[in-house]
Amino acid sequence: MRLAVVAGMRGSGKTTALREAVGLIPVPVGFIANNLESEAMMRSVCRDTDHFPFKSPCARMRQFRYRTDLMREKPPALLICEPPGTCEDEAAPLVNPIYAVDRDRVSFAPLVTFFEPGKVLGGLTSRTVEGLRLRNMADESDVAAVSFADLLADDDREAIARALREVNPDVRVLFVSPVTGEGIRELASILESEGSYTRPLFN
Amino acid sequence: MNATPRELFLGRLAGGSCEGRIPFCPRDLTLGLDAMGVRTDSVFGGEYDSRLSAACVLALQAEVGHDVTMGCISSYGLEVFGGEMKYPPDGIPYASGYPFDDIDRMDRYQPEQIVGDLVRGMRRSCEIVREKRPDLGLCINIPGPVTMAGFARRLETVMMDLLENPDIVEKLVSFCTDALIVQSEYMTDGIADALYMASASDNPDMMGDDDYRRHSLPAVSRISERMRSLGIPSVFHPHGVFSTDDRRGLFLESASVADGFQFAEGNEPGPIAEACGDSCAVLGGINGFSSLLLGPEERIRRDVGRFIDAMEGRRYIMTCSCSVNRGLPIGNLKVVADELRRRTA
Repeated sequence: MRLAVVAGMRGSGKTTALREAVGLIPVPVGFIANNLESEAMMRSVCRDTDHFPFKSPCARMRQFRYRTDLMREKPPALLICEPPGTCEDEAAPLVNPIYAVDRDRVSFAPLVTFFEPGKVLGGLTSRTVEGLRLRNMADESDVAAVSFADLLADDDREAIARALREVNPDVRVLFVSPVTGEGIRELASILESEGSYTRPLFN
Repeated sequence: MNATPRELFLGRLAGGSCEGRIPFCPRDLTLGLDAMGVRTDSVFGGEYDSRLSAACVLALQAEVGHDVTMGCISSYGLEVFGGEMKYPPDGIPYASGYPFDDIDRMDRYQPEQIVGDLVRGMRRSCEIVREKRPDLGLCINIPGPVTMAGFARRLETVMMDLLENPDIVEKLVSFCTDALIVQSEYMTDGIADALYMASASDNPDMMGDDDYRRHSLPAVSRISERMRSLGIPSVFHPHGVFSTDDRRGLFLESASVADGFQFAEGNEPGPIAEACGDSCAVLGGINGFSSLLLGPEERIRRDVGRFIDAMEGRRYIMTCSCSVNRGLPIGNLKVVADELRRRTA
């Protein structure tokens, strides 16, 4: 089984893009959301879906393991998860404990985080709660998926990529738009088979 | 003469000297079980095994060399209120049955009942650790008030109550605070150096700033005031972001309700140190779920250095970002202790 964790703030466009990408993936896909709405949105394109009940931050590692283990009773080829808890939390602290014990049995896809373009420009700051969260999310990610790409001019794209790489020089920046289809095939490929979970292992 | 680990810890926590090396206080809740290679249910399975618990705590300390222990292999005493805990053989205790999911059941109990067999057993473990190693610091670990409310009623339900039934939250947090005061008085009496309020769900990111101010801070203040009247300093460890400019006011309020403030992962240490000044001790440190869990050693040493540099001149006590539990490589924890000694001795 391959485990792909996809993070991103509420409203960052991740579920809409994921639904398009999963539609291109030819193998059985499971999905675990951190809220009922996202689970409902993914039901039509995934073989199995589930959601994480809301737990204390200290309980989420165990919860992540427990819910992914439930999926493994009849494992999908690809299991996509939102991080348990809230969309505002960093994902790597929740993935790492599973990685530590399961890396020989499970293949880990790159950590993908979705960003709203308007929140990246000038927003990756440690001065505000939202800015610090976004900054930490950018810092831990293997792939930064920038949504609403159909609305972006070339100058904006360059500025966004630059801002993300200032925080995380290793990040792959992927512009994504379900409207035009931009980046969707690449996203599907990353989730299904391309690359591996790397940045959180040494950051 | 060199200060003992206990003196170093109390010096920083109680407002004394910042001289000498930085003390290390990993919150060793269950990792000691790995140090002895025993099953979780060996301690918790029937009657709480205080001797084995103490042996585990001391074995871990002997291997790592930290300055402060929590004195026992920890769990939460919710069974006395009709709750259910699970003790997986190689895992961490967790709540699986919530005693007050029907809030009316709370009326059948008194907060004083918290001192049951489990709490008595954990205290006995702390006594043994204190007898064998009087030179070490010893903290008593309890949950924060809203955190305990989440264990008692299910966190999802409490979060909904905040929106729909705030009076229930008021009543529940009041009960939990009373119980925590009783537990703290019992467990600290004559043996402990400090009380530690582990407060993952006393968390403004989850509750919102207003509800955190309304429910968590007054309750934490009640507990720490009571402890202060008994001569016991307290540490408050809420989760959430506190290091940003827009949370500075909330951080200062949070830091004022106890003698020490521990920040969680996701915070920048520099702004916390700057905002805090000398008004309270600052605790916090290496990320338990990345560096400490995965290593390698160079990364751990780098991260320890980062915290030491950020906290220079402050009343700083190094911890890990959260508690240390079984499954964590003990060798990595020892790297933290060694690097801390090497750099600050």
